[in-house]
Amino acid sequence: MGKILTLNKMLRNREISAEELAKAYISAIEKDNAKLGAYVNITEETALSSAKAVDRLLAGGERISPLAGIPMTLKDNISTKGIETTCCSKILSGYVPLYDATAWEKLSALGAVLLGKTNMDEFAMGSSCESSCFFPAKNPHDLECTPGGSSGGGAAAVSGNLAVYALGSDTGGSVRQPASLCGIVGLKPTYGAVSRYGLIAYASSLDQIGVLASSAEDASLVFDAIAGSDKMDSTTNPSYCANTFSELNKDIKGRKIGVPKEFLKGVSKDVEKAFFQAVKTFESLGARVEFFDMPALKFCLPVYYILACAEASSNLGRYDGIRYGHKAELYESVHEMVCKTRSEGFGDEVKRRILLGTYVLSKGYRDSYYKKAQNLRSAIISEFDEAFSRFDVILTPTSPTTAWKLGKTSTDPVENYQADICTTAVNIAGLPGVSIPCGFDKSGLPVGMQIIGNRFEEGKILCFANRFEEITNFKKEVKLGVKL
Amino acid sequence: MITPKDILETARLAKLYVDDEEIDDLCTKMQSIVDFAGEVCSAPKVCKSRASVTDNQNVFREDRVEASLPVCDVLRNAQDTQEDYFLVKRS
Repeated sequence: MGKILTLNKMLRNREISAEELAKAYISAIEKDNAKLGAYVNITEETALSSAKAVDRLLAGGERISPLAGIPMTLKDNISTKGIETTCCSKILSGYVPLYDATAWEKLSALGAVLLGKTNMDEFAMGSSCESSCFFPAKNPHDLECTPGGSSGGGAAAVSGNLAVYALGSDTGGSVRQPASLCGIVGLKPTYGAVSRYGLIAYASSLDQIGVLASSAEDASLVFDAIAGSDKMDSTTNPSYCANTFSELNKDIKGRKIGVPKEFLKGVSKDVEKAFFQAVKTFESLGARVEFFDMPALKFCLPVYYILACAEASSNLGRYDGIRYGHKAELYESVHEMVCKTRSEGFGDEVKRRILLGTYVLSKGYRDSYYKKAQNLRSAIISEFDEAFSRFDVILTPTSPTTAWKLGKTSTDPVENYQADICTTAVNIAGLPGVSIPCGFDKSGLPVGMQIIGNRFEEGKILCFANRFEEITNFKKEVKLGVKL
Repeated sequence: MITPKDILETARLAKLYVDDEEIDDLCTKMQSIVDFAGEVCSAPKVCKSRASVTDNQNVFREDRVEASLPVCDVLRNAQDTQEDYFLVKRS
């Protein structure tokens, strides 16, 4: 049984109250967050108020959702009414949303206990959680190492036992890659499976809210709660009804797994070793594995960075100091105020991505960069469609490396972009992908593998993940947080 | 070749200021990024571009007036306001 159902049972049997559980996590956060840098905002009052409400329901003999009373956290780009939401950027300092994100609203209605908002790369642009305007988050398995990004804080919180699960966002791998580096499960849903209403936009055709949890079962329960159509987000699928929990224990014997050879290039020896061992594990479960070619994948990274930065340059155009957030103090004109505000408020990586996005959309370059990238996006989608006519799921490493030392992230931005090489294709094609632990490197740092499914087949990929978890044990205890 | 003039023009479009001290470093980094992104330029054109990742069609609703956020709440996050307005310099 995963953590969520274990805790749910304890709550229903009155072995612990929701308030006691919340207090245990809050106390652990107070003790360990300075080491981990997972949280940028701790919402103790909100957490205790929600927990007490759950206890009142239990005292009244009411049935509760499996997610009721479970301490969790939200990435700081997910809007929370009345609670500061900054995207870990100076430009949004002091911004308090007037509404809840739909995904959070759904969990809140079920009795989820929000412990706080978690650290992230500024505006979700990064893979190490070092570009946060506050402080970097750290990997619970080695406090000198990055937890990955951009949902590094959420991954650190779950891996470090400072939250049972977290919601993050994934535009090019920002849930899956930190999950891989921190040794937990990270699910990025199909584009349109979860409402983006209230998710502060980075790249609107690529963003999705995802789940960080300690098991496929936990991820499944949370995903089923947050998925579904939303009138506030017209890109949600109008008819999708998620019930992945019911698919977790299906047999995968005879199912076909495809491994694109392109994803194996450039991965470290430790990652390669763990990945191939995982392939053997799936074969022992009766699945059939085949290696194949997907030539369009070699363009994934440049396609991703062109499209994501182009969309970001438009989305981040709204930050001008007039309606919310940071505003420059000294200026002579509105234009000067806006430029100064943006230049003071954004960090270096955000500025670079806005500049790239503006460049590729500008006169003389739009056809050769942006339109070409859109065309290649269609080619990548077509190749995945063809692959899924042959395979049930596609298996890849999640990250080419394990966690690296903080401060060692390269000054060359293009070198840093390589961290996303295994994950961006999934966002480009709008597919679901889940990262699960599959081993460790020589230093004991976690290795993750990614299971990719066809659109709206979250149930299938979580089933594969669950069956793999059942016969392996890649959970490594960290001496932090709440011990259950 | 990305020049300081390109950086300054792109920054102007993006409503960002670039300091003199930053320009050379930005030129180098942007050149590296643009070269990397430019790999797509040499790719053959294949199949038709899609407008959307999903097969969803656009959705509409009845043009009915619904409740909006109260103006006082909308103004709450702004640093400078006057009556029911966001306040900005005249020019």
